[in-house]
Amino acid sequence: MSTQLKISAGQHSDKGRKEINQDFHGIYTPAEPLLTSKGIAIALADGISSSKVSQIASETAVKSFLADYFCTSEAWSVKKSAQRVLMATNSWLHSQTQQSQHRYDKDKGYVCTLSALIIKSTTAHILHVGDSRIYRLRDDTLEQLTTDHRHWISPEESQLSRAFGINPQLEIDYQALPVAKGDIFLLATDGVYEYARENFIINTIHEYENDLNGAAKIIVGEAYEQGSTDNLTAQIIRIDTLPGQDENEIYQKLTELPFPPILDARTFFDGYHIVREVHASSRSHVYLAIDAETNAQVIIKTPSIDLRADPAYLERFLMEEWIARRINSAYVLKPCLQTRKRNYFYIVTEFIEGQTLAQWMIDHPKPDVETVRGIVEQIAKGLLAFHRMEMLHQDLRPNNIMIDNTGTVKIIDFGSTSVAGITEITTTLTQNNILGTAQYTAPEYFLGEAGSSRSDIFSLGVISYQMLTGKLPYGTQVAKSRTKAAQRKLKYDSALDDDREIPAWIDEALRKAVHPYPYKRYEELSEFIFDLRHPNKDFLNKTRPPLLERNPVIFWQGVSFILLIIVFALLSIK
Amino acid sequence: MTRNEVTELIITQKLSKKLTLPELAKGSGMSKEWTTAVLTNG
Repeated sequence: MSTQLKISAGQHSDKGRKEINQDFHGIYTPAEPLLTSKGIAIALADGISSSKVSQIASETAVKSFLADYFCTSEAWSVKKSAQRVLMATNSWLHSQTQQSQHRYDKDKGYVCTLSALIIKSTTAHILHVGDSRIYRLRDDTLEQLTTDHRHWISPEESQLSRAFGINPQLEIDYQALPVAKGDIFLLATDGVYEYARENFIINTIHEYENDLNGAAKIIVGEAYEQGSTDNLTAQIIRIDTLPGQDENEIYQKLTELPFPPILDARTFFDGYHIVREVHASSRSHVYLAIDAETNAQVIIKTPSIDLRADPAYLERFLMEEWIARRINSAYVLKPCLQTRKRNYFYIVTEFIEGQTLAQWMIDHPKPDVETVRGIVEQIAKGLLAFHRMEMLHQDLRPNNIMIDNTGTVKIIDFGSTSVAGITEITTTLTQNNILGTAQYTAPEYFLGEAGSSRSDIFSLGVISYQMLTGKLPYGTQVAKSRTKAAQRKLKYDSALDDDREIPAWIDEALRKAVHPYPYKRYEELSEFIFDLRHPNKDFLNKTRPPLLERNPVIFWQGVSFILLIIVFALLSIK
Repeated sequence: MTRNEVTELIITQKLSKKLTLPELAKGSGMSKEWTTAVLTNG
């Protein structure tokens, strides 16, 4: 049976002995589907007493965070989503201080601490700035999870070393921890944790397990009784149920719609006239069709009947459309949005009239550098659209790139694409470790390591190299190198050729893009694209590699020929 | 005006008029995810 993420929460805040309460706190539990895709958010902020506007900062920080976090893309990871909205609010708070009379006195500006906890799937994500604290209570042990950003001036006096709104840029501590059923998290401001003893907190939470609001109120009251002079806020969160889905239930949901049969040309299927089959494999069937309503040519992709018992495959199949709907780029295949009800399990995308890059390379075996640049730049723009959404294509290869009749390049097939925001959601389905196609796959995948945007840059580098040279930078060795030692031996085959006019600095750009070690590759696609057009001065200093390296066969043939002449010469003398 | 200045102006108006990102998105005709991405691209 499926279960949803459920928590119990209790919270209490009091101005204590101060005139106003500059603490602010909140929890937001969304309904599905946001509960699964974004999780539950809890936030706590504490103003600084030297500022008279600090309560505005803490209220804005918490309210903006709880509202805006849930407006970020489902494709983004928790870290990226939370950091982006926090940075925006930080920047606004800082600008408010700059525009106010307190611009030269940060202690009086729009400044606060912020500690946020997001429970998504089976993970707790913690984001933290300042000296509020997040604790985890597990097995009667209260463990402080955050580090205080506090600088001690003297044994009695300290000040915040990092705070929200104090600088235009903000460094946010982030950590992710697995959660277990029954885990309890406590968020507290210094007015509470400096005065309420640890044992008291633990005992109170256990004693009032069915009334966490009551527990929070008692802990705040205890801190007050112990002499706290600050504002006091405590939030207690208990994990009651972790999300989990029964595999049969997922399968049932996935197969609510019947599988389409194998379609023949000229048949009418779900509002489409099938024109012909374009491609068939053991995994799917692809048809060219005409939408009877709009007369538009479309592509219909149906799953292979042989794989209909594989829920992981079916989920992945539907993900392709999910991904396509979220990427808006002229260089990426678009899905066709259907207005009518779909009666079968299939996906519909735009029809691209043209050829694959693989075919284009066969038709254009020796393209000029400028043509290659034009194609690579378009692929990079498409790839960038993936990376902005925190997605990795993971299977970039000439067969997954189309060039239409106008010369526009489009990335197709998202069957191996990983989505950061989705990867964070734990399911019971066994995910196939789908790698791309061996020749274009980054070496780190063969070591079982996770990919990054640099892995996609590797694939683009190999494609660029292949377009210019007709060969692969490491031949077929990458797929065979499954240990670090083997990968150290990979030798880049220079793109320079006596028959082709490829500048040495372009060869160096390619060498860097396809480096076996991800950290030695380009960090950003834009850097690679720039270096393909502009000679990088680091590369210009490098000399053209010797003939032995560029073309060892010709080198040794030459040496043999010279030796042969010497032998003949010696024999003739005798 | 630079892009950053425009972003700051929109965020200032959003916070002072207590507008939400979905409301801003509706006004601009874009999705809330797109609006959020643009306004948080600090």
